[in-house]
Amino acid sequence: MKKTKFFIALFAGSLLLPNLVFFPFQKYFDTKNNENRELAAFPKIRAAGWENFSADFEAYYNDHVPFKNDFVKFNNMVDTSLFRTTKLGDVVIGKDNWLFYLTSRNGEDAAADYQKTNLYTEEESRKTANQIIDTETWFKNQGVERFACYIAPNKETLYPEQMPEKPVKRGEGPSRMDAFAAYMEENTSTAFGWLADDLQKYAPDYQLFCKYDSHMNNLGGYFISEKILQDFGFDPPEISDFTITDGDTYQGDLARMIGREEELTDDVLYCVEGYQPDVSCEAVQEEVPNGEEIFREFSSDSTNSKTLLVIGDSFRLRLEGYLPYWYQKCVFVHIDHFTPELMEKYQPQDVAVILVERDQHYMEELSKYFMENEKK
Amino acid sequence: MVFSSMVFLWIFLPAVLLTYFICPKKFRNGLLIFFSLLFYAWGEPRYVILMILSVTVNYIGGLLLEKEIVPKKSIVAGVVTVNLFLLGYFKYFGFLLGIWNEMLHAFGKNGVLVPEIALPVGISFYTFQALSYVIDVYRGEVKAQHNYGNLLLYVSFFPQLIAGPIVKYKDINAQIIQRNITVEKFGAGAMRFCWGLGKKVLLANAFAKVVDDIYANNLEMVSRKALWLGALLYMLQIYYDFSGYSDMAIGLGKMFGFDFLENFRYPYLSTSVREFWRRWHISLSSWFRDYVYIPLGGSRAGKKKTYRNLLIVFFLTGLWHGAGVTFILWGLYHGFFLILERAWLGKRLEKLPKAAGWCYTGIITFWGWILFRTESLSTLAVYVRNMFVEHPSTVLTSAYLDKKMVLLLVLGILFSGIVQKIYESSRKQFPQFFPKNGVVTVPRMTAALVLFWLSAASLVGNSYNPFIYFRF
Repeated sequence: MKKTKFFIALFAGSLLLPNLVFFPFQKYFDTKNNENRELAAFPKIRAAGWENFSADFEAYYNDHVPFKNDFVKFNNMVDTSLFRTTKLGDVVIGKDNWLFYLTSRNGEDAAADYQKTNLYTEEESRKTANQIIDTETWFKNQGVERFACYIAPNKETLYPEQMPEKPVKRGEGPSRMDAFAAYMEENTSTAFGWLADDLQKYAPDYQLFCKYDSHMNNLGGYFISEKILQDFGFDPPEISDFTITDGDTYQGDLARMIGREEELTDDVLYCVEGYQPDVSCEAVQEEVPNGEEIFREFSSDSTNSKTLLVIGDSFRLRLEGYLPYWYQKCVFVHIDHFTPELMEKYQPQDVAVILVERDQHYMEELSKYFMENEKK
Repeated sequence: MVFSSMVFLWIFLPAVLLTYFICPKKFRNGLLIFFSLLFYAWGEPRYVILMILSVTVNYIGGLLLEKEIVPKKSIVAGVVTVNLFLLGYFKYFGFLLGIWNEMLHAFGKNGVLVPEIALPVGISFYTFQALSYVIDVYRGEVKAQHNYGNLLLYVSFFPQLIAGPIVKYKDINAQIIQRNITVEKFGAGAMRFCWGLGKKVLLANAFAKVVDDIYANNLEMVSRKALWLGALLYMLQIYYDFSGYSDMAIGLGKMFGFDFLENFRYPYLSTSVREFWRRWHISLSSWFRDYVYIPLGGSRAGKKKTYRNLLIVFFLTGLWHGAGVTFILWGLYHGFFLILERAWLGKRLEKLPKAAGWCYTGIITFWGWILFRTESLSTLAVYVRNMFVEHPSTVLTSAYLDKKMVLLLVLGILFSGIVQKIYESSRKQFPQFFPKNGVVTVPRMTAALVLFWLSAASLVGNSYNPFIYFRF
């Protein structure tokens, strides 16, 4: 009987104590939002839409459940330490704790890119190529002199040796982008750069991607900038002309996604010291809602009076340390936030579109981000 | 609302338990009705009216049967028709219209528009409970319930409302009026609840993730081994999901003083399909036995009629599970083997070692679950063919069989009855070392609480949905 009463007390405590302890004292607990999204708010009680209250409340409570971050850390610890699981959600844990982002949602399919199961058919290649050609035509009609579209490789494309053998196995043969780049080369005259080959040359000697983040570091940004500048007729210096230092340490987005951002802190962004010392450059305008930059304008005293517009996903950001030094005006904008008014305002002579390999939905519908915006 | 959610575990359940035990006894049934309706309305705010309507029709039906103003047969026929009409409309109307349209298309005619009819959660369960009440009153096995609240509580009681067990009125009516809650009963109920929660969250949900992923792929690209793995995991998933939910329902019932009958008795230990149906979803098979099979004549009207009755019952069993051809075929598949065992195979199996019967039953149920899970005959054909024919594939078992899944798979197989059978045999031989089921011991208490907290961690983890880029 005593044991039973004791058990009932523990059971009752398991039901009652989490809420009773957490909510009054939550300032002493970890309540940081690691999910990089707006958490559900407490639903308003109102007559219109009353039947949604329960679903909205569940969404709210699931987002704010007591000790959520501790539970997530516990789950991840059990999975990685005890079971040596190499995939937590969309994050794959590779060798030396290298983290990779293998998502198959929201228009991205990194897993299929790695397994090479998503090659375009001839018809799909043609349609996607036409999207890029139509985009180039649109920009040229706006007065742009030079246009190029670049696709940066996924991290696992460049560093497959760091990937674990399970649960995802690398595919054989050409990837979707390998084949599509060849198609663009053979069938169009549009400047299209599949940057995997360019970066492969440097990958063995330089770490071009952050270990715990899905993005490139400043070295990766340097080499992509070098390629773009060469394509646009410049003669950028060689990397050997510079001193490379560690730069800032960096808590990556992937480490945050698996709740290990406080543990995985030994990665650095690298810094290319003394880049274009004779040119001064500064950001004169920016929009960074919720910590995500969507727009930044740079001004420099470069001798090149032209304006460069760089449009892309988050992979454009690492180019900000280099490209603005070569133009008096350089504008970076997220592709989702591009508006035709930017063309009127800045009248760029050069336009570079840069997207990452897994963001295939952007490439496949590229013209809608420019031409449909114009129709609006 | 579902039991395996944080809102239920940390808001609803503590609220109902706390208020129940604070509340004076005479108000407790009313309190349970309130919380049960809240539980149902949480997921189905509009359809709670439908459930109340169903109870009202059956309540009036019961009183009319008692008063005999019109012939009893007419009353019960009318009430049963209303019940089946409600169930039929919401669950089967779209399916029947689909079949009608296919027939029209076969004759080159245009089909009719199939309306989108949402299926109210639990309607199959509470309709059968309501039917159980009115038929038992008709048969004179129980008296009509004059207290509307008591009947409403019987039908809507939240532990068994959504997913059973299907509690027959005669098994529970006395407990609605008078029940005892002891410390031992509450403790046993809490343990049973934790055990069921662990089965559902830690095993069934883990297996379901893999099975759903396999089925979501193009099955032509899934390797042979992965298809076999998927079929095995589904066999375990459906057992742990369903029996886990039943354990939670029985455990919750005990915490409020109710004793529900067992719904699963380690069905994968069966040595014949006949035995399987005495161990699997017992409340459903006994419902069909009492209200369909026996009224049709059961096994008392000769072999041919017995076989006919079995086919009818299992056709209805398949149909009850879902409005789909594969569900019906699954029911008939089991009906066929029941007939085969009655006709000839059963006696052969009795003469063989139990292991042979166990293998035979395992194989039959294994293939039956593949039929049950696939949504169409064409998908079934692809699935089964690719289990045997080597083909190029990109979806491999290595994508699913990590150390964690291997451990869960082994635990799932062992605890589907093997461990329990060994335990029971050991307990019979050495009762001094093995306490009875339900008794709280330190190991059981620890296991129950560990399962509770691991399940909570898993549920919270499932609600963690991080993004690379900020989502507004």
